[in-house]
Amino acid sequence: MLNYIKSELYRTAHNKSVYVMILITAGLTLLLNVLLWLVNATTDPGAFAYGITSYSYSFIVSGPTLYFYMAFLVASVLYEADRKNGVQKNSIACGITRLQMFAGKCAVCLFTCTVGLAVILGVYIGSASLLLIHSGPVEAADVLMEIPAVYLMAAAAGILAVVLAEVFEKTVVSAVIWFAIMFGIPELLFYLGFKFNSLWDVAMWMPTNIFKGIGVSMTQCVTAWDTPDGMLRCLISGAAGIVVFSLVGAALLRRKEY
Amino acid sequence: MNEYVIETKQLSKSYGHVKALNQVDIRVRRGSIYGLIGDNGAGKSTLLKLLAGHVFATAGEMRLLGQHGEKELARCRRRIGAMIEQPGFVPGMTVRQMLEYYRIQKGIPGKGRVEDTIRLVGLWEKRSSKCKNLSLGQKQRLGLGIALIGEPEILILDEPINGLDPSGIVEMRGLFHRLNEEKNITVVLSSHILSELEQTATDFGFLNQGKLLEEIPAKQLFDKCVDSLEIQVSDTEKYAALLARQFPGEICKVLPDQTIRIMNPQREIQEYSRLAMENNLLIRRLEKSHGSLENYYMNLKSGGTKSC
Repeated sequence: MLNYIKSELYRTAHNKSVYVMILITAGLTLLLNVLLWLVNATTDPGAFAYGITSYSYSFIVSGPTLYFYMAFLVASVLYEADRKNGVQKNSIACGITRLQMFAGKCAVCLFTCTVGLAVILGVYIGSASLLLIHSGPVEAADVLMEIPAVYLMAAAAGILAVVLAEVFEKTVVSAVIWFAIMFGIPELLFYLGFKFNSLWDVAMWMPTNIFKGIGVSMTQCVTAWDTPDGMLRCLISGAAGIVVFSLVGAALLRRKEY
Repeated sequence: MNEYVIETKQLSKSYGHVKALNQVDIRVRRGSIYGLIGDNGAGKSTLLKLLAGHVFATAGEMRLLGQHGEKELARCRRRIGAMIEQPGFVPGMTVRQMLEYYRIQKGIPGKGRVEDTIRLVGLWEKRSSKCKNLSLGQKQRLGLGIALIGEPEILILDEPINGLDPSGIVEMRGLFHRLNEEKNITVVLSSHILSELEQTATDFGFLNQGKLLEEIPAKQLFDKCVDSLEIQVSDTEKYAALLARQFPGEICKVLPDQTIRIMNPQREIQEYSRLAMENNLLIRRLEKSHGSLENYYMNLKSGGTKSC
């Protein structure tokens, strides 16, 4: 399996789409901060309240599901065309098992997301620190603390995306089902939980429902991972997601025919 | 060392209600070039996909290099190279990158193997071209390169000369012979271009509608490929009886369409037509054909209903 992972890393390194995606995302964060700085610089002092690091950071701190979307995008960019290309057939004929392929793809997807995250956050936090006024309740530390809280959940989202890319030929179908599982089902359980207590307990372990407690604004920064209990809940939720989606993936892909 | 590198026993594969392969027993000798012959839909690709691991058998058993069982077969496949149907590759990667990808995947040390393989399949001038920009024949060569990069003991190829120009076909034929003779690689290839297999294979397997009709070494097959004469008359039974009486020793078959096929006719064609006319039989068709793999296969497929 190690050889398979190495070959996939080689393939990823030669995939222009990955670089473009990371570049665009990092570029967008830079653009945001440049725009905030520009408006601040061209407005009377005190007239524009948003030229501060807190406002910039609040985008990502208040929206941790952005990490999930990125994981889905990375998995799609890497693997959506595999079925059509027939590359996997060659790998199977080489003696790579289906489970090894699945595990290898998940590992490479995770690695690519991590590297991309480092680049994007580096640009994001770096440009905000350099261009904007250091003020407000949301700090760089909050952005950095978000990473361990959300990482396992994002990994689970990525694994689910890999599974769906293998199962469904069309990316649109994968996207809809991914969205339904990551967002739709938790929301459904959340509302059903008002009626059935047991469903409420289950619902509150799901990422998007855990994040419902986030309160980030110009005057406060309350996150789901502020407390040790909250952080633990995030980690357990992410770990559970990884286990569940990995098992589902293994079950679905073990006997897949090409 | 096992004499047979591939053995199947009652191997079957169904897709829903369709039986693509039905209780097939084949044995491929080590060091042979095994030609798998059959019409479209005969089950050739299905059999090769089973061997390559792309699909799972519905029933029966398969041994590769003496091993069976899912895990053991996966391990054996590291010693196999396969190109089934359309070769698979990443469109945006170059030829060199694509082979390098598989070199890494197979754990082959040394980048020299990639360059050697590119030269072997005749893609040196296209080594920096993107896979999506290759012609059909070049893609076939790349697919073959991917199959060969691991220096396999067994090469499984599904219609490998598809899309190749005449000189490419000759080159490929030469390559198969060289791999077989110099490196003792066992080659299993399917084709419906019978004349091509005739020049290449040392053993043949004939498939029809998912069933194996016959498995035969080339020497025995070519002994059996004889000239034949086909005749259609107004009264088949009467003519067949006349043949048996007047020309004893002739070997013939009555085909389902009431054509009488005389294998390796001993007499001149006029004698057969005179026999019909003298007995007031109308000749509807009289045709002589030379012995070939094609005729043999057609004869095998049609089966024949009875002998004269």
